[in-house]
Amino acid sequence: MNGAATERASRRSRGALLVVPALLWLAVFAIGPLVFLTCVSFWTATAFGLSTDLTTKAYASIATEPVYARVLWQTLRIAIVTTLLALLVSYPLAMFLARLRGGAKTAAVVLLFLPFWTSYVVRTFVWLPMLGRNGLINQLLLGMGIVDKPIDWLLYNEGAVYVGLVYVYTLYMTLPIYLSLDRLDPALVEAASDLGASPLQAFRRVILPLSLPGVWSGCTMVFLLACGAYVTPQLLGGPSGQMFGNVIASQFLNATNWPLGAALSIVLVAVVMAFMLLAIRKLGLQRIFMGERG
Amino acid sequence: MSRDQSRSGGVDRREFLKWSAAAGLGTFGGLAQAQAGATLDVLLANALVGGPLKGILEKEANIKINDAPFQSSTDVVSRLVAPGGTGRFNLMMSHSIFSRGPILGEKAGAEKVSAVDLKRVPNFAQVADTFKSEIIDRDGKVYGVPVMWGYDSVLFNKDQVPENDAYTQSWGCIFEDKYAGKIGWFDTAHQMIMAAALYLGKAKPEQLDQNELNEIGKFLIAKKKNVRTLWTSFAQAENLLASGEIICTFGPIPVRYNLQKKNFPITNAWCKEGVLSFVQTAYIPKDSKNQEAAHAMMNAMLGKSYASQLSPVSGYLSASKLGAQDLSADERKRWGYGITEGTTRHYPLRMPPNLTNWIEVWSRVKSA
Amino acid sequence: MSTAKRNAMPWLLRGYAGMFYLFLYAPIALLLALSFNDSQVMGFPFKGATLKWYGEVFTDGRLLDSIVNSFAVGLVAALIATVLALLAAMGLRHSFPGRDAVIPLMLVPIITPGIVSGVLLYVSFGIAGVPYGLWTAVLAAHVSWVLPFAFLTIYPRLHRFDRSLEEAAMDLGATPVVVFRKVVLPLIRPGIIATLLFSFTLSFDEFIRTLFVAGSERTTPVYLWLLIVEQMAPFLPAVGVVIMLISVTVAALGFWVSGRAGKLAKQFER
Repeated sequence: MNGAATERASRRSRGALLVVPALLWLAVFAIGPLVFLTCVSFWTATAFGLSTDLTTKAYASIATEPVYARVLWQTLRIAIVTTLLALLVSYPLAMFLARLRGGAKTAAVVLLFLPFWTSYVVRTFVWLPMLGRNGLINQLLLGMGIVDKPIDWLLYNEGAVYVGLVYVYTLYMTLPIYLSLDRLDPALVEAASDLGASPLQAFRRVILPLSLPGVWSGCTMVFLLACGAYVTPQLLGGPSGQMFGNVIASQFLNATNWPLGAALSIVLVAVVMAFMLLAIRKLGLQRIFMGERG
Repeated sequence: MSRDQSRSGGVDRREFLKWSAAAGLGTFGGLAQAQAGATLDVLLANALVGGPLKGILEKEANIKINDAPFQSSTDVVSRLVAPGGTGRFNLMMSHSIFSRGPILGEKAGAEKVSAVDLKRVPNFAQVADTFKSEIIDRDGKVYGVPVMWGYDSVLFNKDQVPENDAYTQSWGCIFEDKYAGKIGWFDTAHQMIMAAALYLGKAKPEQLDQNELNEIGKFLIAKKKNVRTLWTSFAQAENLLASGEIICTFGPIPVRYNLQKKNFPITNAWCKEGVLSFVQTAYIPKDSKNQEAAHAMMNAMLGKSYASQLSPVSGYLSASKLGAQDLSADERKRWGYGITEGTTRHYPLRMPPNLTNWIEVWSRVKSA
Repeated sequence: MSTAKRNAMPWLLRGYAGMFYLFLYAPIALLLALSFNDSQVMGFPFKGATLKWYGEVFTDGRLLDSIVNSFAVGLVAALIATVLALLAAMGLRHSFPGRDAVIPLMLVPIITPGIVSGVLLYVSFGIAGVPYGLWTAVLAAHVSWVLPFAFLTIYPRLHRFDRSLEEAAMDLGATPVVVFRKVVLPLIRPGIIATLLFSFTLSFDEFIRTLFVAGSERTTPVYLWLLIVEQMAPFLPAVGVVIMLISVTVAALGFWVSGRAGKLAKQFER
């Protein structure tokens, strides 16, 4: 008996080695570069290139120039609102999908995926001819006589950014919620109403709590994705359509100010990670990502 | 600034390999190394060797040209100063204002490019007088030769904006209220702040101090309400003008040119405060092979066949006197040679010493 | 209450679903309509119908190349990421010091915003002197991006897995490899296929990181982006439609294959 137990123990420790390849990959391509970028953020940009003289000038600029804090706050705000909007839009659909059966269910799920098989670039661009001055919506409104001049405020403002972001992220929100609702045993809901619960109570007491893991999973993904948004705000956001991703990009594209760009990136990652840790602490990591107990 | 004017004309999208990604210490592997004496790897605005222009150069200099995707002048310079950057390309071109410092290095002996052997570039004598100040030299040796130049001005839809109007022929067209809601701005700190500074009457915009910069920032923030949107790529600008979302905007040459070729009624104004002119210089990285062939290409670019075709094909203008030689007065005015002749007012896009502050102000304008 | 009433889909939900799908598909329909628009501008007004944009798409060698590139990179990235994720998920079933830190580490690429990741790889590869290119930087970027999602997909499946089956097999003398092939693999096959498909989809659509590290060979999203940046793109809707059709076909194949595999596995599932 003891021999078998020791066998198993040594198999287990050997088994732990299986995580090494993945961790190694991440160390080289994700974590290593992040560490390296931190170093770059302390270097100096000169007219002749990057010099390794250490300085905290980049971080000092970020701390003293209010525009960075303002854009960061704006980005977080937009990301949170986008997440909530995506949740509102996607949750009922997830409920709908979970209740379907058989062929209709497969069809509906496939139909959900389908638009996401055009390119992300196309999916964002298409809002221009949709919302623009000569776009589809304006043409319809003009044609039906509802307005006599094209509406300007459909595009090139924060609202358009929300539309664009929610549109490209809705799958990431719908899918996890649908998966966790799908595991829901309909017998539970029946039991609740057998016991006299109204549909609303059944929802609040049975459905909602059980869908929470999926909700948190979806919210996390959408929030993280929205924080890093770059193309959508630039394309649809108009003169004030700037998010933190754009600010970072311009340091590398327009200025060769790598230390500042690096510092801004580190700040963004740090803030996002802080949010994540908050979420993990409040809800337990297992629940967020594993979607079920244990 | 770096997101600059030297994009290609809209001839055939297959011919273009450009992309809008980053500047910086990149190295571009995978380009075929030059065969002995024949093939040159060049990094310059692809429009400059687009269409028939490439054939003209290849024939005259007896070379074959491999042009890599051009992103921006800042990127070209970064490639040069990157480790190993002095041997990757045979000929490079970028805005002179970004090139001077990095090419020459901090002191004599630190140059990253070869001194140009002027005996091999006889057309050097054809460089127009206006551009002699753009020649990059040190201690009597020439390192960078101006080859092409261009200008930014105001672009407008002449069906909706009267052309012969004092309001139109001024930078104010894209700042003031008349066309509110139909104006587009180029999303770049350098050019936009320069234009605003000229409009506000600053004599030397590149020497703005922090107070003046802040003042211009406030002005731009106040005028932002008239702007429909900012654009980052020339294609975006073309789309906006062509679809009627905007009717006037900050205007680089390729945007106007491409739209005109597609028969859109877009033309440029000659701003009374001065259009913004820029020059691009060519240089030969010091560790590249085929230096002789590179010299031949440089010479051909200043020669008659190339220079006279440059404007019709790409819209850009040649720094060589031979470019404008056979044009009629009307053609010269249209292409913009009035700038060299002194009949059109212009101001060079000079590099401010505190560019980082300019970018900060622009970020402030954008987030307001 | 009657069973029928309790199980019936509330009409409110149905109505909402209808509106949702309308919202989802209106842009797609617009795309389809614009792909036939004989106009130099991508958008209205509609100037007559034409097939020329589709003609351009099908004769554009670069676009077709980019699609091939995207597929190739997607497949390889999906395979690598799935393998790495599977190994990691299996390793995590054992306890070892530092085990709790592994999951957060696996999630770093998601936490790092796209633009930052792109820049990271751009800078790192640039300084290391490694040339940018499809099978160097782009593949690395895609695998890193996809790995956390692959892990999140496969880990719950494996976690649910009853190890007593494996341990019994090993007690009977089977080597770990055999145990994996004969016991574990058949049961988690649907999960693996799901992971592969999801990974492939993510890689195919990945754009912002690739933009920074692509060399002269493009993936489809990067190619599209560059087209849009270079010039007005009246052919863009046609390109979008074509890509969608190709993806649908491939996905249909994928589902068909996994359906067959799933049927087999279902015989053994609890």
